Amino acid sequence: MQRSHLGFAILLFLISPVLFLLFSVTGQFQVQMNELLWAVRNSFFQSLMSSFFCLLFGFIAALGLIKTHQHRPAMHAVLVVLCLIPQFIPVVVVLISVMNGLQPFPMGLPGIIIVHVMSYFGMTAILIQNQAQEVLSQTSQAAQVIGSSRWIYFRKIGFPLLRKDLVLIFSYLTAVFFSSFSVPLIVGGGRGTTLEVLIYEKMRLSTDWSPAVILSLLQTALLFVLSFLALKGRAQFTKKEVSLNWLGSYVGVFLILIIMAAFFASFANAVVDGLSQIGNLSVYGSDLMEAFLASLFLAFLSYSAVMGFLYAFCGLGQVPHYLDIFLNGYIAPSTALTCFGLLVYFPADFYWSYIKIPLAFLLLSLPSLYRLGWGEKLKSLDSQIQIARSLGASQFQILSQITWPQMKSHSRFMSGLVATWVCGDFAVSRILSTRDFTLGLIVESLMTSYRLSLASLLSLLLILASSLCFFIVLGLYYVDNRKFKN
Amino acid sequence: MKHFILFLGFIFLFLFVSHVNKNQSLLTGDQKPVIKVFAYSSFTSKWGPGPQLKTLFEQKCNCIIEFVEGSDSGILLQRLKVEGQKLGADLVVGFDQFDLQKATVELSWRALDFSKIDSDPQIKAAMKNEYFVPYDWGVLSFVARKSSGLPATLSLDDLMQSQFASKIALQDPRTSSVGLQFLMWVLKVKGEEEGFEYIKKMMKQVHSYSPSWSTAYGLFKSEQVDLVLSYVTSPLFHKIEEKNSDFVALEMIEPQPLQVEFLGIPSFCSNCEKAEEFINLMMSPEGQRILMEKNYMLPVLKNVRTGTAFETVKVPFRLLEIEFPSLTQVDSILEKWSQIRREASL
Repeated sequence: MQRSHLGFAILLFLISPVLFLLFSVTGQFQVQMNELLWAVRNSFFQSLMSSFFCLLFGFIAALGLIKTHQHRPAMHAVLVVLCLIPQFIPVVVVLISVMNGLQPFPMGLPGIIIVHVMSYFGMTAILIQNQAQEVLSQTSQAAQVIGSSRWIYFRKIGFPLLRKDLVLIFSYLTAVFFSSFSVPLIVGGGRGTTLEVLIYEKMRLSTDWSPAVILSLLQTALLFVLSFLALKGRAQFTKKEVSLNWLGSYVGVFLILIIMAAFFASFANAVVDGLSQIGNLSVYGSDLMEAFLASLFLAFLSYSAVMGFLYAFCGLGQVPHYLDIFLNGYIAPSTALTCFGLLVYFPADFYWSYIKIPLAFLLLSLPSLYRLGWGEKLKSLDSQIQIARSLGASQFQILSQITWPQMKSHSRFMSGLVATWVCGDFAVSRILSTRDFTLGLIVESLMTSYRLSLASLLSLLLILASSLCFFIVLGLYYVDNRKFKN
Repeated sequence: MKHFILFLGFIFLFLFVSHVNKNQSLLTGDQKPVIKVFAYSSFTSKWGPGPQLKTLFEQKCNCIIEFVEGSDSGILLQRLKVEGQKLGADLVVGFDQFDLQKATVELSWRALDFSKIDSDPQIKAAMKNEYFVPYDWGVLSFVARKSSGLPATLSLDDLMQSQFASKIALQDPRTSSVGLQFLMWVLKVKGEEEGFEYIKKMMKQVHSYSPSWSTAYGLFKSEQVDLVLSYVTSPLFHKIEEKNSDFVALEMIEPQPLQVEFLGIPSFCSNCEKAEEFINLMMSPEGQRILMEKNYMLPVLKNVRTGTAFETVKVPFRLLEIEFPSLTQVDSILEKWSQIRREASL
């Protein structure tokens, strides 16, 4: 297959759910302007505020990570794991924990912002720390030698140098929060309806899905604009192992520890409530074990699907400009629309769930994986590919000997991330599956009956499955890197 | 590395194939007909009435019951529209009175007649539908904790008192039928104009409008709120399963709304007679008892409650008549509600 054809095929594949629905929907494509503007306003407000507070807390937490980076590696590793936990555990667990811990919990836009910040501040801290390590290493030592104070350094040099990166992280977070689905749906409380929730409401309420398709296209267009606002002009720096210790602060360490301690305490409280009913779990018998394995199997299928796709993507060699622009802009497809698109297109039998769910996650996560650094890494191989091509290497030789060996480890890690998300999912699976066959679905079923405490208890098993998945991925990544270094 | 991944792959493949085989032998090994029942997830889950009814039915029918889930009645109808014919739905369980017109417009249904059964007088009106049969019902009320010291009887106007500010959990009428029940209840009792004025005030008073009954009930259980709109049978769940008698369904001064759950057979069914037999089981005293005890709803058949814990459930004397609002009526009410919600949040 020619490169241009492959690029076009990838593009078509990514927008296929919208195409399925566009061709199957017959309606008047009318949208109420008042409602639309209200939802857009809510989406912007919650995503901008969530990103702002994420950046604020993330920055303070990053100071803690910087402080411990070189002198206290063990503590640093613990802090990094703590920062990553809310990202990898299922959203339902974060919701149980935050809603249980904050009394009274502010439903509506403030609630959405709190849950978003809780979920993403840690990851933001790690991103900021990495960027600081890369960008500030050259100037910080000089500033320290001439006796500059930390505050003056940050104000005069640090912030200006980091500004582009911070804007980039801010724009990425804004795009992710803008199209966030399950958090605004549950925590919005009727007051914080966002565009993504409105799409879901339209699809659920009416059998005419044309307004939902229009809203989804509009959301995609808004995200495109948002993504490109902050893309240009980032300077390139070389990462050096220079200690930034004097820039760090233990305030960041305390912030991470306090937030995560509160998080664990309120989750433990919910689990303890459920312990009194542990005997009731016997009703499930071997089904729980089957659900555990089914969750892992789905994760494995998703891992394989993403790896396969990334391999095919590497076959492109140099990413066509139009595809690069598209992937940087099409950052977060609508969850509701993607799922209903697959529902319309694929057979409905139960066993197709094993195809539909991994496919949905592939479609939903690929653009963000590309934006999270996979795309940049692939583009950094352009000069090698060009040289190989000018020396007469075939497309397959370039793929198997240049591109894939260098992209494999990174691809594995990214695929593993998706697998971990799949393991704890219930929202996508609920739309695409015809029965409760995963742990996430069982927990959700318990939550829709009176058995909320039991759902909290069972979410422990969900965490176990996700952690297992995550550590397998981490192990594979570690082994890969060791192999590469050797 | 490759070997490890291949090893994992083989393990999962083996598990998958054995899982498929197990179910395939069930589905095709004995050449038994498969009756596909579309239902919401709490009906088909281990705790719901579905598995017990399935076992009971399969013992007699020489057939297999296969459940297809939709998370609630709204999603169920969408799923039925998209996949129903592809999958060959034989029976659909879980509509409420607001879904019936939409279901009738979207799909055609087989006529069913269960009007002659000895049903509870409170829901006689629901038995007259030509295509859909009610299989259980409930009365909606506000549920509270006895320990919170609230009076046992309240009126809708009492909910506006300052002590309830941000202490009431309601459901979004656009995504929850319980939420829609509350909206219809207020409009029925107060009239449209006064009713919407009340809803406007309630927007400020309420803690939140959750997307589903379960989220609202979760807020109540985690003591975020003092009152939640639920069923008069809700306290019985806590009493029986959690041995906790602290919950109470408040009696309202105004007549209270009824929620009725219906089932129906789509006209494209492939095992229509078997599906009808399954309905017969659900409507038998034995089936009704299972539905009552697992769903924590009231049985349609008279006398099934006698001698059970459900006999103690106090069904309010004043109940609203069951109505089947038209699609346009529901749409216009929801549009107005959405407008009020928008204005309140600006």
